[in-house]
Amino acid sequence: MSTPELKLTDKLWFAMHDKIKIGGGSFLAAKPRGIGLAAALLAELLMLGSLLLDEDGVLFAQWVWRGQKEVPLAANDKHGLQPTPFVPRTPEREPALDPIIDLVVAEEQPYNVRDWITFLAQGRDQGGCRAEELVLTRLERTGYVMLQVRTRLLRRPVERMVPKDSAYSGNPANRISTALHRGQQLDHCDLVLADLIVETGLHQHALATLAPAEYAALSEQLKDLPRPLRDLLHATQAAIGDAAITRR
Amino acid sequence: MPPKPKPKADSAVANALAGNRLNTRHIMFAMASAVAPLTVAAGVFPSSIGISGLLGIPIAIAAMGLLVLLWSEGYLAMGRRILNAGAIYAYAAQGLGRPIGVGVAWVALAGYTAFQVASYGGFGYIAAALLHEWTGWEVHWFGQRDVSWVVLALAAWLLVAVLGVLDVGVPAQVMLRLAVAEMILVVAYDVAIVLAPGFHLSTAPLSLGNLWGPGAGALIVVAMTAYAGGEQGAGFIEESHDPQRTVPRATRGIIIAVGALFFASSWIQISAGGPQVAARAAEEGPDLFFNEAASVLGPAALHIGHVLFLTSMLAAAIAFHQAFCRYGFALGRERVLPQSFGRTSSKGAPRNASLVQSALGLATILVWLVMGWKPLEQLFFWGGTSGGLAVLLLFTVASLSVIGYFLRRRRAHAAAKKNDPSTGPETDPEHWWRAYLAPSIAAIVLAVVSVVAIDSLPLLYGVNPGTGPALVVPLAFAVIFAAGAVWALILRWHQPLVYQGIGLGTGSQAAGPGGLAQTPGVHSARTGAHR
Repeated sequence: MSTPELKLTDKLWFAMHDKIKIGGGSFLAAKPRGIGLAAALLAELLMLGSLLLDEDGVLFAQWVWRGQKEVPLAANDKHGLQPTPFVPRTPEREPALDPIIDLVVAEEQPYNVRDWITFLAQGRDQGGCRAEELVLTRLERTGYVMLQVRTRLLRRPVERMVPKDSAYSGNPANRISTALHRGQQLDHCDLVLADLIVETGLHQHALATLAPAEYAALSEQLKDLPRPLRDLLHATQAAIGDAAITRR
Repeated sequence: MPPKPKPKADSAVANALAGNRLNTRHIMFAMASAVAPLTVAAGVFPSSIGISGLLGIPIAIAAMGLLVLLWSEGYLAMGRRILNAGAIYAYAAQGLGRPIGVGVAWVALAGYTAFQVASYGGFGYIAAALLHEWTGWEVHWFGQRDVSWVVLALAAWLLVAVLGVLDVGVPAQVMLRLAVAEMILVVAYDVAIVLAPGFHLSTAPLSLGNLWGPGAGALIVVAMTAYAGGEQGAGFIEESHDPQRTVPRATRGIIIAVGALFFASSWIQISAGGPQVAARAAEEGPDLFFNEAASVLGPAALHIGHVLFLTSMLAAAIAFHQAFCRYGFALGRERVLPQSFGRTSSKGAPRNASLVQSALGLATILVWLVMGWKPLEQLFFWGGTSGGLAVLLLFTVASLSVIGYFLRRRRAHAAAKKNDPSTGPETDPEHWWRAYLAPSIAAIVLAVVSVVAIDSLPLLYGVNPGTGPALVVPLAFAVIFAAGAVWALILRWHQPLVYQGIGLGTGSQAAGPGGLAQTPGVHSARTGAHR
């Protein structure tokens, strides 16, 4: 069965839910899961041209949507921002990610991308918007996930979003593995996805068949990513590390 | 990274990030777990009195407390500027040079390991004694010597190893509560002992002559062992509410609290022990403290004390296991240790660091089993003493690092001014007391006491000079330090990008994208971020 077209974050979410633990849920713990998904959403927005990442790692919104029209933000002129080469002149809109752009625009002071990753990776009860909620909203709307209710003896039933078809899950990572086995070049989206799979510790399952030489080839290809995406991945690695060290 | 802008009250991001931070109280209690109040009060003190015969522990605690407070001035000044979970390692790298930084990091790991395995010895010994008393259970090595303690030490090891690998979040809360319970118990028992009829405080332990008598060096190491854990506050700086205030407050708070507690407790124990306290300590070991309390509170005091003593050592084992993992992980991220240390499991835990530490712990217990060495005098006390010596040496290097760091800053600013006379004054200068004077005094005193301490090791270990651990331990630290420094030089030659990143934490370019091995030059297109 061919994989329906999925966005970067969708593919990462599916890779995270490829294996389900006994009792349900992703086997990837909440912190690396949240950080991976947050970084993937920001990567999508960078590749769409809606967000910019300057050389100090500070995140800015380049465009804001008013109805169907994109409006460049005047505030960016004072920062002297230039559009990055890989971004199309006319940004595409991804409505599911509008809340993130709105949040970036709403903040009076700009924040570092690491702070944004941490923020988006947190749960709503701490005031942040969860990256996972955003991606699930999109996946539910496009029909790739459904709500599963699991009843438990003497306890409240558990509700969880699960892939409608288990065939979706392994596909994104398998395609990356296959391409690397064949020595093919990955596009930006797949490179970012591959790196996020490694950063979150998912590679032990999702990319388990890769040989060291193929990891080396992946590493070579990552060098050619545009600077903003490399910086985003660097920040993600730091955020995963911080989460490992805090362990509260 | 540009300086963080001041968060506005209605900033969603600022509010969300603030909620995840540690406050002073959290950090103090996290440090208290590492200090392990009951392990020190009931374990370290009686053991050292029994082995060395020295009674000057209270005055040594007081003197060392003042020294550590002085030391903390410079240490925390640096901590505010260098946010790195590896703390002393990062300060040494930036203050004295990268090879020294790596050497220091490896010694720190060895020191934490020493403390950690010491806990297994103490736990095994006490638990075996209790089980034997209650049930008559014992295990013999091929029908010969009693190795009951090994079984229980291995049980403790297994628990810590499993918790470490699974990254169970619960123990942090449990440990905080245990640390509080321990402190309450120590205070309660001390009060009870004081209230015993016929109790009077002895003045001998307070004699200043203890500080430069023949056993001074040994007393210093014991006192340092008591304060070990206090340096871990700086490792929490990245997670704290307000790095400028939270960690300094927590560090000073814990030094004063712990100092006061140990000063009082050691004085009271020695006073209550009577004129033959050294002989009693040699005979009763950790039970000295509990027996003294039980004479007032009844036998329940002994049982409660034993239970909390066991949990205290378990908590110490867990705390130092975590300290090792944090350090190892921070070093792995910077590629100063093999990169696998810096990898996380799917749970987001530094699993590889945890596994390595567990392997070291297991190897140590097995060596003790095969060689027939003693769990209390030789594993617990020697391990704790070795860790205390390591911390003493690390504190000395930390003070030197502070001076080196601020001198470098000043020199860099002077050079910039020479090149461009319009350069303004030094940005964010540190007060001369914290940057130079306090660390200088601390460094000199610590260097002197380090030399005296190494000289006194035979007395502390209870061996002949130049034999056993008195020779092996300082030599091992020297070799480990040298190996770390050599490794840094190898990195400088073989992976210059990684070498440049030493001590820079997650700002390091060596921690590049991909989580995969990076070849030098991968970030050559990146501007501005390299310091």
